[in-house]
Amino acid sequence: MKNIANIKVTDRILNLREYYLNNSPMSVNRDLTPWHCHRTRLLYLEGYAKADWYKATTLRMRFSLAERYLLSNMKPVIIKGELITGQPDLHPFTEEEKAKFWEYERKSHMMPVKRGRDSHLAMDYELLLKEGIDGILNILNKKIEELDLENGLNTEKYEYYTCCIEELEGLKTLAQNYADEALRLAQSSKGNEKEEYLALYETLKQVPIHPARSFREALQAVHTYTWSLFDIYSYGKVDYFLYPYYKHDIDNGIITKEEAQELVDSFILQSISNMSAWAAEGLMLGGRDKDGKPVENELTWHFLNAITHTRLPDPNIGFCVTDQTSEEIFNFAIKVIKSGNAQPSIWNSDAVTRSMIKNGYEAEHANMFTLSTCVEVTPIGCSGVSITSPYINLLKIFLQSFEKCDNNTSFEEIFETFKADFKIYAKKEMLNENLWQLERRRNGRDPMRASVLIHDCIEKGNSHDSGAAKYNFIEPNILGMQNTSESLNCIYRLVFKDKKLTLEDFKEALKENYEGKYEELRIFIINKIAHFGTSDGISDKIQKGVSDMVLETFSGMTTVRGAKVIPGAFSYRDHEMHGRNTSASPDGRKEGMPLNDGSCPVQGYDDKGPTLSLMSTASWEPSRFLGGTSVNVQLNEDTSEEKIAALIKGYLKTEGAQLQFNIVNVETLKDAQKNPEKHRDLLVRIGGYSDFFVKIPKGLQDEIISRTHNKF
Amino acid sequence: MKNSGTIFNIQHFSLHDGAGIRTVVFLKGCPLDCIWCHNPESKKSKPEILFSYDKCVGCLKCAQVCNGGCLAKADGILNINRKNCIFCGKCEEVCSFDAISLIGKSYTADEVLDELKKDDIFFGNDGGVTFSGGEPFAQPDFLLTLLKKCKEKGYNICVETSGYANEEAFKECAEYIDTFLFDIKETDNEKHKEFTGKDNGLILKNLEYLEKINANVVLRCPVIPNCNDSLEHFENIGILAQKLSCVKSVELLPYHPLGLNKLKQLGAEAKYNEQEFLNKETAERFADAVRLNTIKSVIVNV
Repeated sequence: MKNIANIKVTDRILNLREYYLNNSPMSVNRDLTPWHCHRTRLLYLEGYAKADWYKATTLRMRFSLAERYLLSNMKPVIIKGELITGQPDLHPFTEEEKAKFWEYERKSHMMPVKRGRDSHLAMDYELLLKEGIDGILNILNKKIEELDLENGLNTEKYEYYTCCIEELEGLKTLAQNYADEALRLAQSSKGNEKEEYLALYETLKQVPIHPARSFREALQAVHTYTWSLFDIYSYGKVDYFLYPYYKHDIDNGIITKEEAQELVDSFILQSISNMSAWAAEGLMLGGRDKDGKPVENELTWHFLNAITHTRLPDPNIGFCVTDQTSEEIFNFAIKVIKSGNAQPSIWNSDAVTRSMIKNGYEAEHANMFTLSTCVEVTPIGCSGVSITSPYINLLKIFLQSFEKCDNNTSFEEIFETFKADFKIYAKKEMLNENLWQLERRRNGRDPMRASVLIHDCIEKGNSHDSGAAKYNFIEPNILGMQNTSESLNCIYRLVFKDKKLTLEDFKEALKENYEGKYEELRIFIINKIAHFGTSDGISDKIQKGVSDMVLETFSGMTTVRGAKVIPGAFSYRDHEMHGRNTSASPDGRKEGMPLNDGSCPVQGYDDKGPTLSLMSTASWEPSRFLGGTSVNVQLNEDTSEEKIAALIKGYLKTEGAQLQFNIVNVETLKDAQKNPEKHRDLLVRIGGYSDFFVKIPKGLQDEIISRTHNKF
Repeated sequence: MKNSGTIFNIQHFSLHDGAGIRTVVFLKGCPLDCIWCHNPESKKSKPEILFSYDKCVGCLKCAQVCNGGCLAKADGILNINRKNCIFCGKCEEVCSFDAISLIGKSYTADEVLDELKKDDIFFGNDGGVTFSGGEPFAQPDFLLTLLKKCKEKGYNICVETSGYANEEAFKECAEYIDTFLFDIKETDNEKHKEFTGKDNGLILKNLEYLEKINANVVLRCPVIPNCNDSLEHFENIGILAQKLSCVKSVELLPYHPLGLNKLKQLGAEAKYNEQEFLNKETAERFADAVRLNTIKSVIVNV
C-alpha cells in the first residue's frame, strides 16, 4: 500500500485548496460577515412566505415546502477544475437582496425558533447510493399508497411521507440545475476544459437522482446530499461503504489509483467549501464493520493520504484502531499525524464498542460506529442522538456547593453536598432539554430528507425529530470535570490531610481571586500538590469518583422519547468560553481562566510526562462517556514516530476512547501569535476538533500554549 | 540483598535513554569525579540540598521549620549552612516557590517497582526501564535487587554506566541487563585520570567482560571541549567499537552547560566553566572520526 502513500498531491487540488481558503466563509484571509452564509436563509424564508396555502396544511408541510423552494432556487456554483462539485452561493448580498432579507425576516417573526442541537446525524449513505433519490421516492410513494387513509391515525405518516417527497423533489431540481450548469459551461469552453465539464455533467446527471455506478458518482452523491442540508453531518465509515465502488472502478480499469486519490482529495476539500467557520464535517476510518470484521483497505490509505494533501481542519477524521489493524497502516497514520496535520484522531474501537453494548446498542450498530463530527459516538444510519445537549459547567456547580461549606464540613460532606446540587441542576437541565425535544417533535426543523436515511424513520413513518430513529439518546456534555476533581484533590490535601488552611480560609482566598496574600497559596497549589494527571493514587481516585457520580446521576433519567441519557466529557471550544464567567476555583485557577481542555487534566498539571497523564485519564475509563471524550497530547516536533506509536499502543490497552495530537513546539505557537501571516496553515487540536491556530481567538490560543508540552 | 537505596529522580517517558518508551531510574552516587559532570547533584551518595536563588522570595518559611538552624538570611539573601543539614526535607515541603529541593530520597525496591508499574503498559516490545546515575553500580546490591525484580516483571532493562564498577558486582548484574549504555569518556589513561580522577583500566576490563559474554552494548561518548575533543580519541573509539563485537553502535553526546547552574544551586565551585553548548556540526566532525574506523552505526544524540 506504500504506492498509495507515495501518490503526490496534484496542482488541481492545490489550486482548489487555495481557492476555497480564500473564498469560503472559513477563509483565514477574509472577515466573516453574516451575509456570506445567509443567502440560504433568504431563500428559505421566501419559500416559507410564498408557500401554497392549500399545500401547506400543517406547519411541518410548510417547512418542507420552504426547503423545496430553497433547493429549487439555489444558484448552482461550479468552480473551475472541480471533480466533485456543489456549494452554496456565497456572493455578498446586493442592496436589493438585503432589503428583501429583512422584509422576510420581519414577515417570519412568528416562525417557531429552532430548539436543541440539530444536525450531527450519521446517515445511511449505502441506501442513497443503492437507490438514488428516485428509488427512495418510489419507496415513499409506495408507503403512501399503502396507507389506509380512511383511518385517521395514519394522518401523521401521510404528512411525513409527503414532506419527504416535497424536499426530495427539491433536491432533484437542485441536482438537475447543477447538471445543466455543467453542460452550459461545457458548451462555452474548449479542449480539455470542455471534456472535464462534460464528465462533470455526466456525473451530475446521474447522481444523486439515480444510483451511483462509479466511485466518482458515489462521492458526488454523498457530497450533494450532505452539503445541501446546510449544516454539519458525519459521513460515517467512508472506507467501508465507498469501497465496493472504488474496487469496481480499479478492477475494471476505469480509474487509476492516482485518479482515485485526486477524487478523494476533491471530496475532502469540498467538505470545507460550504462550511461556516468553527464547524466540522466528520468521518471515520478503519475499525470494524457491522459483523465485527476489520475494515482496512486501499481506500483507508487514500483517505489518510488525503489529509496530507488537503491540510485542512475539516473534515474531522478519526481512525479506529483494533488489535487487527495492520502495523503498516498504523505506522502510516502516525506519519500523517507527525507531519503536523493534527489529524487523524485515534480511536480505541473495541473499548467504545464494549461501552456501546453496555448502554444498550445492538452489536451490529456498536461494532461500526462513527464520530458525529467532533468526538460524539453515534451508530451509523439509525441514530437521532442529540449531542452536547446541553453543555454543563461542572466546576461552576461545584463552586456553589463549596460556598455552602464551612469549617465544620467534612470532606465526605463536601462531596455529598456537591452530588445533591449536581442532581438538582442535572434534573433541571434535562427537563429543559426534554422540553426542547418535545418542541422539536412538534415543530422540528431538521430537514425531513435527512431522516429518510435514518432507520427506522421511513418504516415508522415519522422523522428523527419525532423520535422515529432506532436510537434516541441525549448526550449532555460535562465541562470542567478535571478542574472539579482537582479542586477536591487540593481541598482534601490542604484542608483535611495537611491541615495547611481551613475551609473558610480557602473560601476567602477564592473570594479574593488568589490576590494579595493569597497569591502564595496559588503558587503552592501549582508547585506542591500531587495533581491529577501524574498517576498519583489519591487524585486518580477522586476523579474516578466524580466521573462515577456524573454517570450515576444521569443513569436514572430517561428522555421524552423514552431513551437513555449518556454524558460526554469533551469541550469543543467551550472550555474557554465557559471559563470566562467562572470564578476562581480551589485548583489554583483564577477567575475567568479557561476550564480544562476536553477530557484532559488541568493545563500544565500533568507535568510528569504523557504516559502518566494518559494513565490518569485511563483510570476513569473515558469510553463510558459515549457523549464523547477528547484527550489532547502535546508533543514536541522531534518526538519520533516510534515513540508516538508506543504511546498510542499503550493507551489502546486501557478503556480510553480517543486520543488526538498536537505535534508542535511552543515556540512555533508563540511565533504564530506574533506573525500570523507566516503560519496561515498551522493546524491545532482544540477540544474535539481542529482549526487553524491563527484564526481562533487569543484566549483559546493562550489556552493551547498553557497546556503541558512534553519535551523530555 | 539490599532492599533500599538512594534515588535522585525517576523520569517517565524518557526519549533519549534507550529504545521505545522508557522510565529512567537515577541512582545517586558516583565514584568518578568528571570535571564537566552534567549531573553534579548525582555525585555524592548522600542526599543534598539544591537551592535556586532566583526562585527564592526571602519569606523565610524554611528557616522557621528547620530544626538545625541551617537557614538564615545574611546580606539580604538566604544562606544555607549545609554542614548541619540532616536532610529532613521540611524546608522543601514548605517552600511554595520550589526554591529548595532535597535531592536523593530513600526508596525500597518495591517502591521503585510501584513507580515503574504506573505506566509499564507503554513499554511494549522495545521500551522498558533504564538504570542510570550517578553510577548505578555504586549501589551494587540495591541495583541487583532491582534488576532481579524487573526481570521477573519481564521489563527490558538498560543500564547506563561509566563502567567504573566492582568487577564481581558487575559480573553478577550483567546477566540481567539487556542493553548497556556504556560510557567511554577518554581513551588515553593519563587524560582519563586527569579529568575523572580515576584510571580507565577497570572500565576497559569490565567492557572486556561484556565482550566475553557477548552482551549488547552501546558506547556513549561525551564530547567535551578542551578535554577529550581530539580526533585521535574519537578515532580510538572507532577502533574499539570495531574490535568488540558486543558493541552494536556508538552515540556521541555533545557537551551542554546545564550542570553549571546545578553546581551553583549546590553551593559548589565549578572546576570546568565552559558556558556554551557544543554544536551538532562540531560533534558530527568527531562522529566522522569514529566512522573512519568502524562500520557500526554512529549517531550524535542531542
